[in-house]
Order: sequence, then structure tokens, then C-alpha cells
Amino acid sequence: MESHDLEIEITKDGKVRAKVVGAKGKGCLDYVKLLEQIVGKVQAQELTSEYYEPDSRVQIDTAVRGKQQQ
Amino acid sequence: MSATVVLVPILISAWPTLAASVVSVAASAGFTVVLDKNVARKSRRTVEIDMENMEAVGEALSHDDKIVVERAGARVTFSRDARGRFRTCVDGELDEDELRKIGEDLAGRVIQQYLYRRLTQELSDSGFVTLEEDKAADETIRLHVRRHQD
Repeated sequence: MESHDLEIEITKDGKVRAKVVGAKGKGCLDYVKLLEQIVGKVQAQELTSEYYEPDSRVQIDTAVRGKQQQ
Repeated sequence: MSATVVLVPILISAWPTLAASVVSVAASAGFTVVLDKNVARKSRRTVEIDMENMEAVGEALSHDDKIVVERAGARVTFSRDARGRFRTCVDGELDEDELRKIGEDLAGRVIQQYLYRRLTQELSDSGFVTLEEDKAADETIRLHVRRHQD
């Protein structure tokens, strides 16, 4: 079983910086998409060596945006 | 690490949710809620803070769609206009730069608080468990969450 971590910083002016750790390959982009749905738009993105390794299997319920107005 | 992203918030929220964040943040920053919101004040400067990408949604405008808080000569009004845009205005007898700084600081904290609540809730719903959270000296909130994937 793999562990996938998110290390998130929310600055006091409301910007968000996040690191996805442990999700290999394109699987990490599913987490980026999840964060985008929760927070807003991606301003900058940097992919690291793990991104180029074989994909992790990631399953996320991404029906977040619809819940935003609650 | 497999990716690092920087995100800018786009907040589309029900007014009561935003209002709860405003009240909570204002109280922690030493502001008190002004109950009589419509009292006009003379000889005061007013500064509007730019709040991009923020909308407060609701069925219709009501008298409750405005919150006024005050601290040491500065009064900050959070409201939503007829188009649903979230607005922050600061007025007081301080100079314009000081008023702007107070408004930007408070508005930023409101966004921070709102994002914290939303991230912790949504990530929990997506199966993440919080391992650690703290607040740095510069008041950045740090959150470390983990989920296990089969």
C-alpha cells in the first residue's frame, strides 16, 4: 500500500503552495487537480523526478466543485 | 516529491460561510462587530480593497449581507454587492496607506481561514488524514495530510 502526502502552506494573504509527495507518474496530477478544485487556479507548477516514474494508481472522488456553494 | 504547485484562490461561497470566517478572523485580530452598521461617520477616509476572484452567492440580498467590524479608529466593512462580488472597504481617520494595510491584512486572513476550513474538510472527505498542522512565525498555516492508496 502506497502513502501519498500533501504538504500545504496557506499564507496569510491567502495564497496556497502545495507539494505532492509519494504519488508517482501522472497519478500526482490527480492530486493537483483535486487541489485546483478546492482552492482555485494553478499559478505555477513544477514536476519532479517521481513524476517520470511509473504511474501510481490514484482514485479520488473529484465532485468537490459542486459542493462549493454549501 | 512529485509535484509542487502554487495556487491562487477562486472563492465562490455562500454568504453565511464567508460571514462566519469574517467574524472568526476579526475577533481573533482584536476587532469588535459593529451592531449598528448604517451609522454614517463624518470626516473619514474610505479605501476599497481589491478582492479578485471572490464571489459570495445567495438567493437574494438581505440586510445581513454586510458585516462591520472596528478596531482603534478603523472600521472594516465586508459585504457583497448586487452582482455577488465580495467587497471589503475600510474607513477611518488614519491615512490611506494605514487603512489599506489594515483592510488587506484582515481580508487576507479571511481568505486564509476560509481556505483552511475548506481544505481540511474536502481533503478529509477525500480520505486524507491530518498528520500535522501548525502556524509559522509569519502566520502561514502548514498542513501535512496523508492518504493510503491500494
